[in-house]
Amino acid sequence: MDSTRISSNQLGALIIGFVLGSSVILSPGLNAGSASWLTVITGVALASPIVAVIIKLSSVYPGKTLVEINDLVLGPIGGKLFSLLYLWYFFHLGALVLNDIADFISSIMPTTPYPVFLVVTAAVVIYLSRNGIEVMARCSSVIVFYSFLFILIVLILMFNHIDLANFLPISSISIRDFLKASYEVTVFPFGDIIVFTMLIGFINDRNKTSSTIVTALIICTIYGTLFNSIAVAGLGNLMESAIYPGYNMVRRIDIYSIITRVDIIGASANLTLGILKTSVTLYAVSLGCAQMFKLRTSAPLVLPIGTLMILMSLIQFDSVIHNLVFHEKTYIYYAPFFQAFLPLVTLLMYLLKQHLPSEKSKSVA
Amino acid sequence: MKIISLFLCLSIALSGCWDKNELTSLAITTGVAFDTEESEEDIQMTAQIINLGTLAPAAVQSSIANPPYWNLKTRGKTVFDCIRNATMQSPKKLYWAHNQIIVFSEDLARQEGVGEYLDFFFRDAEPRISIWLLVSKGSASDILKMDSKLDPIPAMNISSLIENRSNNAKASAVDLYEFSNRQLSQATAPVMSYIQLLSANGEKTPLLSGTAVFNRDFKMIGTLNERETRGMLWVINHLDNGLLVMPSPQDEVNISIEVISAKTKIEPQIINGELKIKILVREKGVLGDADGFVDVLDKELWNRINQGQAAVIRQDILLSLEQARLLKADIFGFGDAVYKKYPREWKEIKEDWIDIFPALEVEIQVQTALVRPNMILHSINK
Amino acid sequence: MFGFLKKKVRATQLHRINEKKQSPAPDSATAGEQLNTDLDENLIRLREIIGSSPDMVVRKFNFGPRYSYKAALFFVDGLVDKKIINETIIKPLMYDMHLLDTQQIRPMKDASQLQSILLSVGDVKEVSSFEELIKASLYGNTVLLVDGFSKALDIDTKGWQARSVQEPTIEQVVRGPREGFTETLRYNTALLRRKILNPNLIIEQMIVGEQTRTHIAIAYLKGVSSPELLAEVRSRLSRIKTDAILESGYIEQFIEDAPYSLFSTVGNTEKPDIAAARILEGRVAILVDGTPFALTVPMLFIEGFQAAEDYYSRPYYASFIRLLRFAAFFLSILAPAVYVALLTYHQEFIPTPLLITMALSVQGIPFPALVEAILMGLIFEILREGGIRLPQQVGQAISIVGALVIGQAAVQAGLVDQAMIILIAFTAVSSFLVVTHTDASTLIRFLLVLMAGVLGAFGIVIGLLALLVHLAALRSFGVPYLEPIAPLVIGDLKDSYIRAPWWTMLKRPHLIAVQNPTRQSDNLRPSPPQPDQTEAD
Repeated sequence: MDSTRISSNQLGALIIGFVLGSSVILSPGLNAGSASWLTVITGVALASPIVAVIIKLSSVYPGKTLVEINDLVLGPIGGKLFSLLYLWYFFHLGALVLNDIADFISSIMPTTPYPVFLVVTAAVVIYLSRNGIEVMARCSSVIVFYSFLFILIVLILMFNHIDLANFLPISSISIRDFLKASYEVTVFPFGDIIVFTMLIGFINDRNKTSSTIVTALIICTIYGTLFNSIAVAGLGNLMESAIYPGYNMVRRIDIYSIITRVDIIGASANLTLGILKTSVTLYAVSLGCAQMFKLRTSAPLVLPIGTLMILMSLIQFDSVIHNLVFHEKTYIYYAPFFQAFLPLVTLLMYLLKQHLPSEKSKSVA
Repeated sequence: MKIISLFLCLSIALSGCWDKNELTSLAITTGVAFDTEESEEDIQMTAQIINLGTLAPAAVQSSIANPPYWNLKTRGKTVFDCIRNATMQSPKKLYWAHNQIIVFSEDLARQEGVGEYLDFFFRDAEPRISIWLLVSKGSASDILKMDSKLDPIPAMNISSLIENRSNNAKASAVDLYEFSNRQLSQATAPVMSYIQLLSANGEKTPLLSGTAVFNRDFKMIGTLNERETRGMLWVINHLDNGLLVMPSPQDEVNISIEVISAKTKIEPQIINGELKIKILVREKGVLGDADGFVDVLDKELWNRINQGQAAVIRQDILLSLEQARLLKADIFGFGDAVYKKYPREWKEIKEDWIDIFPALEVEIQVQTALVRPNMILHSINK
Repeated sequence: MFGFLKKKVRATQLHRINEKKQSPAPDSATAGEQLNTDLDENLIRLREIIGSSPDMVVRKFNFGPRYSYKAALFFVDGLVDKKIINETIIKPLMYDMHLLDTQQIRPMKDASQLQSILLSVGDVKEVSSFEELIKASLYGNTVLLVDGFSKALDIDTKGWQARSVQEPTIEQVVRGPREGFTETLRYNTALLRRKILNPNLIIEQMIVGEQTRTHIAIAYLKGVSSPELLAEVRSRLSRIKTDAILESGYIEQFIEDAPYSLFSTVGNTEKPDIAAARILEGRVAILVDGTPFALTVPMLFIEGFQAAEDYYSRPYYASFIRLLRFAAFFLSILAPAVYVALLTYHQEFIPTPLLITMALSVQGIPFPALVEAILMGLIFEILREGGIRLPQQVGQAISIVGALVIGQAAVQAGLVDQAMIILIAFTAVSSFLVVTHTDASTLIRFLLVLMAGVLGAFGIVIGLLALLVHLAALRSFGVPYLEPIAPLVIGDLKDSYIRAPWWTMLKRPHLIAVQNPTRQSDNLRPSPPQPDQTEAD
């Protein structure tokens, strides 16, 4: 890993931008009806083991990326195999987010060919990733700042549409359905932060790693809870029928018929955050590949991998419905393999390794 | 360099502008009316398009002969079909983002129901979610042809009319959001505004009053008159600024009280397995017009006026309740209130709600306050 | 692709030719050639070197006891003050010398005695080579050659016609010093010295430009500017091997970090107080002879939004103006693009009554909004350029023509829509609130209009994001261009979107003054005197 470093605040901003990324487009957890606002909190709670594993791995191998850790823990062959699986997942994740963005934009601009959105979006994503982690970190703080500003404005503008009665009844769905909705939040977007195992090593103040991650996730939780709360209170019964609830919520804003239909601004915020998320995954894949093949720098890999990502996005779904179905039905079983199972194996192997020599040394003693 | 090449690549590669709609190529639609059609399958749609040529300030004089709008009649199998068929007649593409109102004729609303007409307005990205929905007595397309005073375009005129309804509180205002929110709720019956045309001296002017009530299959089942509408508005918390007219406690004459704030709570209660709805209205009014002598310093009299307005409110609610029971339509959202408070019990009664509702015991509590006599102490008309 | 290859081939060829032909440096003939002791020989050699330029004057004369010493003065007419030569060189030698006690005048072997007792000028140096001699005379000095001496005297007699210190034309202020840099390097360094009366203000001078041999000076505050920055500045300046430096812009383009960027990563100012303020923050100023603009590095994006007056006026209004400048900058790059996007893609965003008004105004306009916006933008730029270049009287006529033809006639003829005219005019005015970035913002405006015309708001967002990434990737002399916004430096935000009161700005910019971050002590908040106890009673 080269000498570039980012500050803990920047890492936090990256995590926030990443988690909010495509989730503000699809607003996960909103199928829990009036209890949707709670799903974010339970979702994070369910995701906490994953976070713990990430923090543990990064603390025992400070400054190392997941690919390097895999090599150290699982040996050169096993490590490579694991890394390959991860890189596939990161790559696929990036392609999925690209799909989400392009689907979303093309539902607003229906006659423009779909690939146009993919290519244009990916062009910025590649440009951002190519400039490296430092530039991404700098951009993320700006983007996150402005999107927070944006949600604040939405909150204020939505004020006269908010009906607190929409929060009732608290238990409109069964516990099982609620847990399922929470689980979806765990997988998407919180589980996705496994990507950051590639980036945590860049932090300049390693003591602050875990506190940064936790703080960033808490901010995401607050943000998500707030967002879902406004959606529940502001959309009422219409929430469940919307593909993009956040967007539909913004469409309701109407201040004296002057500030109306600000949906395009909401769409812009969604787009920006989505691009940030995709570029983080693209950077992670490129960096991982570079490290696997022992290249000096990952920058030259960004363009080819980014192009592959576009192709992947182009071919993987026939329509937005396939994407939605994949999100609802497949992704929640597919992603945890990479988000939870693989890191857990790595961690267990590490603990095992730690344990064995210590026993040996004990027996010798 | 990189950034320039990026921009150049984009602009060259994407030189086609697919979703582009030049403003000059758009026909801005401000209102749409749906009428019944002889052949059952077809939909008859009238779209009101702004005619910019005659709207220009220089053309005001000629606007009598040539109105600043064009009512385009089309037909098709679906709403979207109608809209696209319109381009066979209109040189410009119909643009829906600024559509203000949708009017259904009463016949259509009663016979066919409005369900199939609304989906497009939700699904398409163009129309806004705050379109006003109305039912017209008689032909809906006639509404768009009315003699529009003050605002040259009838649809905009009606839209303003609805936005100002709080001054009289005798008409309901329902937009697409509210209609669907009611429709998607547990048991609340959707409603729409009700509009008719008054003919006098050969001029046809609109009258927005009352409410059209729908059942949950999108079919219109009846209307509420002005007073019943006000009763509903009290309960659903949509009354901000109406006027209460009542007989003076002293004389034969009437006095009017302007409502300055009103807040209602619907509280379902289950006592010994018996469901009961409690309605609590809190209202504040000011003395707006006292025909005849009213001495505001007379505390006794003041109290009686105050009680009088409470009685009017109670009567309003009772009247609307009676009509709702008759129509078997839960226009007040009692069912949803029950659902919110007793979700488990609700599950059992949800299916039979339409039968339970008319027999429901409703308790009305009205707390009113008469806060100001406005500018004068004594009426000048002693 | 092929063009790129061709270029590369040609470049390598050129390189080879250059290596062969390496044009001789102008002073290669005289390089290291030492002065002779024989005056006549020296003068003959001098004539050979300088040719027959009539402005290069050689004045022979004799002086000393019995006029035994033969001497010659060499100077460039027009660059020297002849009065100084007459009063302080010729007169002392030819006349005053005789008033001295003859005992004191021992036979002279070299010029040191002349220097110490006879010449009544401030700055005298010894020179021993033709190269130095000519260099000195070309800078307005006079050289005194004496027969029998191996060294000549370089006497400061500079006195050419120069513009005096005047009020700058671009960076004007209501409150604050009125003086601006001039074309003369010495005046400019003096102006800086007048601001910072501190020996730690170091001015290093060097000569750049093979043919022009322009004097440039690096000014910095020792102990505040970081040595790494200084070393970087020196190395970048010494790298420059070019014919001519006629303006500081030449230097700027040779030392900037991002030569392909639309944005300038080297700051410039024509006001000594701004230059001094930047030096005090740890930056390095580069003054170039012949240029009334001082360059300052590193430059941050935010500098474009900071005006000198912000610091002289009260913080509230200054902060308000700062925010206004940010708004104006974004308006100037975004407004036409947003208008085009709204008019062609997102008509739903416009309130209905406004849309009808707009629809009325664009009715019958033959061009699409995109074409109209680009055309009107170009016309404005043409008018602006014409207004600047033409003599002032004609320039005014141009603006009248512009206002009448574009503003009135075109609208009445139905060629352009009124809203567009208003918007373009407004945009143009707002772009001048941030003068530093005006040229960048003008170009970005056109690019964004294109993007908006092609993809609507989506295009604008993509364009803005690309812009953000580009800006975030820029560095100026090692400092991230967007500091303190990205990377976020909380302390430096006091002087960014807002301008905090002076007594709160305890630190110099975080990433520039690495060496010595503290500006002032932290208890400077002014407050009224504590009420007297007795008075309170």
